[in-house]
This record gives sequence, structure tokens and C-alpha cells, in this order.
Amino acid sequence: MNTEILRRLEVEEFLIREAELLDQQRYTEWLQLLADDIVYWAPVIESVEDRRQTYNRVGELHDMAYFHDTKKTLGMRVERLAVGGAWAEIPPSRTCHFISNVMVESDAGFELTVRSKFFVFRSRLEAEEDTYYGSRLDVLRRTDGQFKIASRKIILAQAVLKSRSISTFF
Amino acid sequence: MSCDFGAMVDEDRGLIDRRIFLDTEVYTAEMERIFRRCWLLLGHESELTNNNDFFTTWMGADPVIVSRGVDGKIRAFLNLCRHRGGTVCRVDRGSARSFLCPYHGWSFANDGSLKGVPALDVGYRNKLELSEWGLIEVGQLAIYKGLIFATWDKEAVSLVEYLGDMAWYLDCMLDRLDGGTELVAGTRRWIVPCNWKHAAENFIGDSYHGPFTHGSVFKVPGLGMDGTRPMDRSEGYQVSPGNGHGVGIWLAPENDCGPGYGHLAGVDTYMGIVADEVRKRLGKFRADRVRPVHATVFPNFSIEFPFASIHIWHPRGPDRTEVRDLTIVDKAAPQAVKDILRHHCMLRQGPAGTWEQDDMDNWAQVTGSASQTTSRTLMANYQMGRGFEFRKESLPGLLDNKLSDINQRAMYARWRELMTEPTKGERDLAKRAHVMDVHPERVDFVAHDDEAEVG
Repeated sequence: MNTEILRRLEVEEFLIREAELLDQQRYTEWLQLLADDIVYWAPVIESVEDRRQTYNRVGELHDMAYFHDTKKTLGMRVERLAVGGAWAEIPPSRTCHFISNVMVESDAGFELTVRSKFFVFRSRLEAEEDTYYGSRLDVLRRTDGQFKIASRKIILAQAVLKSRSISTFF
Repeated sequence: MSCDFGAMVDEDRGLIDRRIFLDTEVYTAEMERIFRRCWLLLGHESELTNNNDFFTTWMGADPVIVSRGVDGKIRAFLNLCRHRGGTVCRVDRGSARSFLCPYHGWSFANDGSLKGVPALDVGYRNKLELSEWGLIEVGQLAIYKGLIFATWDKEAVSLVEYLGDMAWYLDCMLDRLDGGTELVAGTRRWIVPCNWKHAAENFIGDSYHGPFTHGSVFKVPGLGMDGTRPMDRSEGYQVSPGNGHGVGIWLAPENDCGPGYGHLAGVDTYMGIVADEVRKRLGKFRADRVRPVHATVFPNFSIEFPFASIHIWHPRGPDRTEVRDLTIVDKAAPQAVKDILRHHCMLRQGPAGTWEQDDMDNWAQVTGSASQTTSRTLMANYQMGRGFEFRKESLPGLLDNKLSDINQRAMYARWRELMTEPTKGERDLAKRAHVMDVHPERVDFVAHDDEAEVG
């Protein structure tokens, strides 16, 4: 039991520090937390009826997603924010990333599967406000005594996103 | 009519009264005069592969169900229970033979007919005429090369006539290969706090904003349009093919017109392989040299090429637009090519797209400023290229150079036409007034005719 609590605290600590880097927009440092082979994606969600059953269908890997990035394309996104003219972040948004409900689902030693919830508020311009919320499924990899994010699936709970744009990361 | 819509657009002088973007009276009239009369894009045929497949979407402010019936026929209905107005289908898509209103349990077959009414005997004493209370079907539905369109207007011109010369450009993505196109699964939807026209006009002809709004992407290798054929060597045109539609194209130079756009390596190789078949279908000139970049089919169906990211701008109030984003690819393309295009669209388009995310604050602000006291008194400027329009034998439509407001002016001219052209109801009223004036003895007959028509 003790080991499980300690492990969850260790994972939570990592995720909270990661969220802080995003809120402070220290994206170059954030990129260093990502494994080189990361799959970072946010599928769309649609409500479906089939044979009189209804359910929410989460997109699959070959479907259109809000984004589906590699470390290379995440690097391009981060670079774009820094080169000037990325108007969705001029002036920069003010965000609060809340990460909670952290659960270590499995631990294979080398890699852990972790579920968490996020609630992100974005305050833009004077009083524009966007909210994003949902669940994440991460694979965290132990590398040289620290975690790297080997994959992250972000499921935004809104079927119709109530935000004009996504200019932050989750 | 207390609001003079005709005076709000002066396309000859390139001036637009900015109240058209935010006034409720304008918006309400648009829903009736534009969205109940025009052909509107519903989706792609490949969304309804099997009988009983359906999806829900919008036609203007009206929610609709688009369904392939048991008989294989595609129909579209108002998503509205005729009893009290409940929503008969609450999900985004799926497969169903019938739709059940959750309120009192009226059920409708997917051909629209009312099939089940609880307590039909003890409640209605079997006096309800079921055939009169089916789902309301659209006025006309037609498919153009895979794209499903509908209009509420039974008297509207045919879809082919409505698209007119725009079809010549749409075919560059829809009619390249045998088998046509298919939709990539996964429909992205999001809400932009802007008027639907600001989104539509951006896609119809606004090359002007590219280097400014999207300045950042050109500084990051892989995000811009950099590739094997620099775009500044191509001729660029805005084309206004009529009926309020518009498209921006590049005309690849004759001596350097390899297949593709030049900035998607794998896709250009593929386009090289299929080039001969495309030439057979589109002709050598169109296949090799005409490269549509952006377009809007009036009123709210926009495209970002190549292949395509389709955006349908659903008006959800004067200052709210729900974007429905569909990605289509050649059905016959190898999976690897489809994947490249999917990633291309995800990295650039959509709410998180590195291009598109920078558009939305602009649209929100130009809409929002239409509520400001002084701003409301100032006309917006659509004068670029005014008086310099020209024709070119090889390209259907009226043209101007890439940087021009020609297409926006054509879009708002069509808007003005529709907003001032009387609706059928108004024509009938006018007819009645005329008869009352000239033949007062016939008024009773006219009233009787009208009732018959409504019934």
C-alpha cells in the first residue's frame, strides 16, 4: 500500500510540475519531458446510436483528431509560438491547468499507464474565457531516474468544442 | 420591413454596413431568406454507407437528420417531433430504422413517416391522421459527386444550376479519379464567437490576410507552403463564378506544372502517378495547372485545398458560428497518402491548426466591433480591386488578381439580392393585396386558395 501511495505521489508530482511549465509557457522545457517517440493526440468524440444502444465514440488513430502530433510536430508548434505572428497567443493567454484524479493503472516497471483528469481555463485578451476539460491516458516511461511521457491520449469531453481555438497544450 | 437590407450592401462602391454582422433583425431575416432558400451542404455520401445509417447536422438554424432509408434512398428531415417539438434524434450519427421522440414516444420511420403514437386508441380515439404528422422533409435533396446538399425551397433551381461554374472548380477535388472521394472518419466541431459571414468571406477570397494573420507559419519549416515549387512563381487569381460563390486559385506556370501543390512530397508523388487519369477526367489544362486553394460555396460551405478540409459554418446566433469540419480524400488513394493528408489537415486546420487558430480572434473581433457605438456608423471596406475585374478564356467566371475583394463583393451582392427578394409568403401577401385593390369581389377566393396551399 505504502509503495502504491508513494508511486502515485511521484506521478502526481511529475504531472503537476508539467502543468506548471505549460501555465508558465516554458515550452522548451516542457518538450524535454516528452519521449522522442511520443504519440500525442486528441481524438474527437461523437455520440452514436447503433442497434438501439447509444454511446460516445472516441476517435481512433486513423481518424481526424484535434491534433495528432509527434515530437517533431510539437517542436514545430512550440517554435511557431516563438517566431512572432502567432496571433492566437498575442498577447499571451493566461491559463490554469488543473490536473486531478490521478490513477496509476498499471506499472510494468519500465513504463506506467496513468489516467488523469484535466480542467484548463484560458483567459484571453480582456475578458474572453475558454474552458477545456476531459481525461488523459498517459504512458510514462522511466528514463534515467525520471519520467518521460511516451504517449498521451487527450479526450476532450465536449463533443462540440466551446472554444474558438486551442493554442495551449494539455 | 423596418431594416433596409438593400441599403446595407453597396458592392459597387465596395462598402458594407457593419450592422449586418450583429443585428438580430438581419440575422433572423437571413435564416429565412438565405438559409431556407439556398442549397446547403449536409455532408458526404460516404457517411451513409449502409442502409439505415444517419447523421445529424444543421441547415441554418434548423437541426436536421440525414438518413439512408431501408430502401437505400438518402433523405433529410427536420429533427423535430411534429407533436410538441421535441428532438427525435439526440445523437451525432449511427444506424437506426426509426427515431423515437423521448418526450411522449412518437416514433418515425427513417423515411419520415409517423409510425407509432402511444395511446392512439384510448387517447386520440384513433382520430389522429398519422400521414399528416410525419417528419418535415427538406424541399429538395441532391448529391453532387459525393457531396449531399439540400434546400428547403421546393422551387429552388437545381443543384447543378445553383453551383453553376463553381462546379468546374469543385471538380478539381471531387472528380479526379474513378470512385471519387471519401470522408475521413472523425468530425471536428467547435464554436467561434463570430458571425458566420466573417468566416465565409475569409475563405471565399481573402488571400490578403495570409502573410499577416498567418505570418508565423512561414517562419517554421514544414508549416508554410514551402516546397519544390515556390508559390510566387505561380499566377494567382480570385475567381467569382457567379451566384455568390468564390474560389482562389493558383495557375501553375506552363513550363513548371508538375502534379500537386509542391509542398507535400508524398502527395505530389501520388499525384504524379495518377496524373494521366486525372487529365482524362478534367482535361490537361485543369489537371496540370489549375490549383484551387480556398473557396466558399454560397452561403456557408468553405474549402481549404488540397483535397480538402471542408468547413460548414452553421449560424448559431448573430455572434456565434459552429464549425463542422470534414476532411475528404480520393477514395482510391493509398492509405499512406490519406495519412499524409490527414496529418497535413490536422497540423494546419481546425481549432488547434497552426494556421487556423490565428484566424478566430480576428473574426471574433470584427464581429464584436459591430456592436460598438462609433464602429456601427462606419462602413467596412471591400474596395480592393474594384473596377479591375477581367475575364480569361481558359477560366470560367469573373477574375481579379490574387489580392482582391472581388469574391467578397460578389458574395455580399448575392446576399443583398436574397435579402431583398420577396419570399413566397411575401409574394402571396402582395398578390392578395393586389387582388383586394383591383378585384375586391375575389378576396374570398384568394384567401381560400391560400388555405388550400398551406393545408
